[in-house]
Amino acid sequence: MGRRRKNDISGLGIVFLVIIGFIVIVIQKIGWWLLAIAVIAGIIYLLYRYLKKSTPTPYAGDTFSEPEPVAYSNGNSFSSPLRKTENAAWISANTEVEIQGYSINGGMFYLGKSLQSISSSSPDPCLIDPSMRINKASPDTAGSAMSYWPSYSNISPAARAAYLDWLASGRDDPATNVGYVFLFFYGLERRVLIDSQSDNSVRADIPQIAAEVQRLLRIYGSSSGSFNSYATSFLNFLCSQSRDNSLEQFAATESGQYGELPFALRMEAGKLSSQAKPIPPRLAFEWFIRSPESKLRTPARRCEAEFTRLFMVRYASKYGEGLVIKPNKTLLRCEYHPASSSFMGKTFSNSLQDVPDVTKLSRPISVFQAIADECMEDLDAFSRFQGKKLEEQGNKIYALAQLPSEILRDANYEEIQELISFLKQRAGAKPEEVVEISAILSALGLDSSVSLSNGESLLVAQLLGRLGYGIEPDIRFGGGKLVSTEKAVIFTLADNLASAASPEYTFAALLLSFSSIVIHADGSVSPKESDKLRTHVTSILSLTQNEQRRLDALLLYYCTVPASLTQAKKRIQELKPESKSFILSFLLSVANADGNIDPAEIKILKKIYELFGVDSNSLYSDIHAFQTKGDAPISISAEAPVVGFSIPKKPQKIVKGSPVSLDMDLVNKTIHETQQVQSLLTSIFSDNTEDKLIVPESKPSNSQLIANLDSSHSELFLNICDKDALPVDSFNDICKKLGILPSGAIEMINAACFDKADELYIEENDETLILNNEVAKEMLK
Amino acid sequence: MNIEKKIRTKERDSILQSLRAGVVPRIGLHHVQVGRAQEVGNIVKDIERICDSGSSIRFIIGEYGAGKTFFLHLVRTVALEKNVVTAHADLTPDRRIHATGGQARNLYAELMRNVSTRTKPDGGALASIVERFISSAISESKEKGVGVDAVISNRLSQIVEMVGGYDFSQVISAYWHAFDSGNDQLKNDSIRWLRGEYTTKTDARNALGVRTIVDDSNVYDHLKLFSLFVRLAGYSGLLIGLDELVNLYKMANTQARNANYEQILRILNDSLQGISVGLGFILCGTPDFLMDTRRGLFSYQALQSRLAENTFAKTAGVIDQSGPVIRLANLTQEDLYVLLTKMRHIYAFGEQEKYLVPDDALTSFMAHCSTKIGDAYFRTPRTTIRAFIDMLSVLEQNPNITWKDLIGNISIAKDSDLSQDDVINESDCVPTEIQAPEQKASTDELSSFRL
Repeated sequence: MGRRRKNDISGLGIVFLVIIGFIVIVIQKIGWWLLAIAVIAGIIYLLYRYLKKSTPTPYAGDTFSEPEPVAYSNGNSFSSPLRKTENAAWISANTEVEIQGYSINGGMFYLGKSLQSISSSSPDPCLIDPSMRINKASPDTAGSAMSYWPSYSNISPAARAAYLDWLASGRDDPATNVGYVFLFFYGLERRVLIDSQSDNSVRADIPQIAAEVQRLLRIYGSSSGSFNSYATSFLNFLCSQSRDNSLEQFAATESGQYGELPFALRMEAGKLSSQAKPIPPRLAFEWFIRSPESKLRTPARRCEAEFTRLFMVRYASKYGEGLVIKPNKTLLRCEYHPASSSFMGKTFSNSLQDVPDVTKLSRPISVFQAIADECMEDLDAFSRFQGKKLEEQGNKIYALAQLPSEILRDANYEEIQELISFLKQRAGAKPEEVVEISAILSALGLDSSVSLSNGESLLVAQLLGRLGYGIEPDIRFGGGKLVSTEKAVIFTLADNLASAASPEYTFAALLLSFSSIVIHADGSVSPKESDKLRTHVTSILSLTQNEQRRLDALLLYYCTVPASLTQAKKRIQELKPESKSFILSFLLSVANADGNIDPAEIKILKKIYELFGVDSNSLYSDIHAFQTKGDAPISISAEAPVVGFSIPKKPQKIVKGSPVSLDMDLVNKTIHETQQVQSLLTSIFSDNTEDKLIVPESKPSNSQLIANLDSSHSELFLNICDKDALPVDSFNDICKKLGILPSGAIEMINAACFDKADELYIEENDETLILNNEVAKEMLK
Repeated sequence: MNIEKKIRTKERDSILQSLRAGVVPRIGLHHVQVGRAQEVGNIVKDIERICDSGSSIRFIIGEYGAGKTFFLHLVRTVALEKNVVTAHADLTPDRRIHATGGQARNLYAELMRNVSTRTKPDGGALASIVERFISSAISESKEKGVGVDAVISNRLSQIVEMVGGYDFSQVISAYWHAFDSGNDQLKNDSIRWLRGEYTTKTDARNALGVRTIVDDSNVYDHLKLFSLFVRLAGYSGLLIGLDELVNLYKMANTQARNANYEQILRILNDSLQGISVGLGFILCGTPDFLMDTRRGLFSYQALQSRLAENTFAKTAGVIDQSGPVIRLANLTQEDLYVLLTKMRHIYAFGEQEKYLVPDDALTSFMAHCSTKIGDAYFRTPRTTIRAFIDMLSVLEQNPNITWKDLIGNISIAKDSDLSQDDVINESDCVPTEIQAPEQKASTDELSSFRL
């Protein structure tokens, strides 16, 4: 329908207007006589024109006479037998004919003297009348003189020569004017639309004709929109007409000129729907992308390939094999407006009986649109990169990092494939090891000596994540940026759901980072320490599998590279006080993991306490409290089993009727210990066995010896033993008489009394000595 | 709680009076000791080692209120019972182990003033010890017919060889001569010298004719001399208790602080190598004094390595009791509860049928205290105990009053010591001991922990 139809009526109107205008002017200027002449001339012209139109006018000089047009009843039915084609014959494809010196191989046209148009009496435009003059000397290949509605009978001889030449040369010269192609195409149209109605044998040719049209379409479709449109819809029509599926391959796969969906697609979708089969991703995408109702944003256009892949992957992941569409009532209908002027605007239409036209439904499109919206959103970042100027783009790897993981892995990006093999090798290493960041950078295709910025580090982490690998430090999970001179750990992820840390993980990582500082404090990290740390951390926090892996990697990383205190500073400020105290006590347990909190660790812990804004003096109290917890070091995990992050209170036996809750187990333990200590002490304090004083053995003398006192002191004792009290002076005198020292005497007597009677005998009270009679009696026994 | 035997009236009254006055009881401490069996056991072994001419050193590390001082007193009591002479002193800014301005000599003087024997457990036993030594020398001289001077110098020959030993033996002789001649001035001068109260050598030479005195530089040497001397005088050994070592930690001058730590190292080395004979040290300090890597004992590398915990023991999940550091855990309310049962027991002369209040009363009482004072009531039990004894005495005197009437009317003042940040004199801080396996408070904090 791209071809404009010439409008005779409007041409006539214009002539009239000109004439009337002219008359008006002339009437005013010249006079009525001239007007009369003009009117007569006009009438004569119009008459001439009318006559010329009613009888086809051959080119000037053509003397070919036409048979009389046969009246043709312009009914809708085409089942009537062929009109008069007595002189014309269809040249089948495998026939070779020679026309005016052109040997034409391949046929597929009407050749003869007479073939009337379908709806008029003029010769059919497609008919090659071998009797017509051709100008073989200068064929008009470019078709400069071709009219818009060409007809073999009224094109110039040079054009006819060009046409025949084109036919003879295999109908494939792309430089040939499309008008010639149309001439040929008219014949095919006629053959299929008209001849096949009456002659069943013609039907057998249809596949061949379709193939030919498709061939031509390939050659000329791109240069002529009009041919493209006609040929495509012709093929569609053929396809819809055939009862079997033999012609399906010819159905258009490209959208029509006005945005309608490709016929093949509509047919396929319709058939799938009628069979209750799913719409496969490819078809869904085609459907969506070609639908005039689809709304596409820049990403879909700018990164088409990525968009296509992503759409299909997402569609497949959402609907499995595909969406199943319930057939609607509207049947798939195919219309064809023939290009040949022979048909004079006739329309052929055809409904496919059992194929619904599901493309008329709005729901599938809205489903596709939803998926597409999601895809486009995910491609935004990549698209923006693509949109940048080359010099502003930076490394492509960063753009790839923005791609959704679904299409990243199977995509044919060289960079990615290289990276994947690198990652595979590194993450698979056993035992796991740290990797130089510079090696990672070069695997990424980046300059291995330049450290990455925060944003770049994030992109790299994201990229690895989408490839199913994790990296620590990961800036998204609280790590630092990738510094080329440092190290990192690469590990495999179970899946890549998380791109931000959960509170549990953040906390665990924070614990680890501080713990790493602590375990590094004594200069070395033993596997035992790190194991303990791991079990500690994981036992108190419920982590997902991925978080667990990440944590392991982090641990490995921290075993090599201790975290820096200053880095952690910012995160500390965000912590709640309870978390702070928890972390601190955790660190103590970590420091104590090797059985000892050594001074280097204390030093670090002190710094950490300061960072936490906790009085560093309380560190010592805390360590002390930690170390005096009990006979055996109690691990944090044992006392703080965390379920879902809340630490349940220790079950306590509450003493009835009291707001003070006592742990009776503890009370009993204390009581038990008290008994122990008491029996120990009692054995000391009630020890009545004689202490062996280092007193030189005194020879037995005549005088009575009291206990283990020597003779002088025994004498002194006997001197005072009958008294209740004694002034100090008189005691001193007695001592002097005996030649002994008073203080020493008191000491020795008391010591002896202690040994024997377990009590003091002499008590000094200012100027008086008070004597204990009870003891004296005991001593004298 | 089946306490075997009755408690003697004297002990009971002494304990109750001391506790009501808020001071550590001098006798019967073993009745109020709660828990800490292991720690006490270790110290008792130490004391036995001292009696066996061995040596020992222990650092008692605990928070304020954990009962370091009480523990020290308990140990002292045990030592005295074992015929060991004890001397104890608090370190203050004026009393240090090492100094150049007389502070070390001050410490020595303080120790000597507090020298106690079983018969003189309150200190001031220096003269008694000297006289006991001389008395035994006199009786020996009588038996052997040798001059007392000769016996003394013979006995002290071991001491003379040691640093400052000559002058020491001179002073002991001087004491004998003073006694012999009735020269009280000379006797006092001798005791003054022994107590380290002479500040100038000139004074000492004028008074006693000796060339040296106890001064800052030879305090430890004199302590060693003294430990030998008490053994010669018939005692089993000498136990030195130094409290408030945190005062060393608080010294601002690094050099002075390190000099003190150096002395501690010397003491530690001598003890651990068995060089000192019959001499034991107990040093009490707070955790920061021990662990502060900038100013604490751990800042002194040599000490740090010697005081480090036994790694193997810790790893194996046991505690190596032979390490020089004994850590005292803070008190818990369970400890207090047990202590209250002990008070009730003591008050009832150890007879269960005489108990004035039932178990319920104890918890009610604790609840009351906790509402009045807050959590601190079990950490600083001094006031709590005093109030409890007051209550018991009211109940004893007024049998018609029930404990329920009383609880709720008892007013308890907050222990003001708690807010004291400076040098804390804990010597009169009351008791209660523990072996607390768990830090209640910290657990509670954690239990509400959420992110």
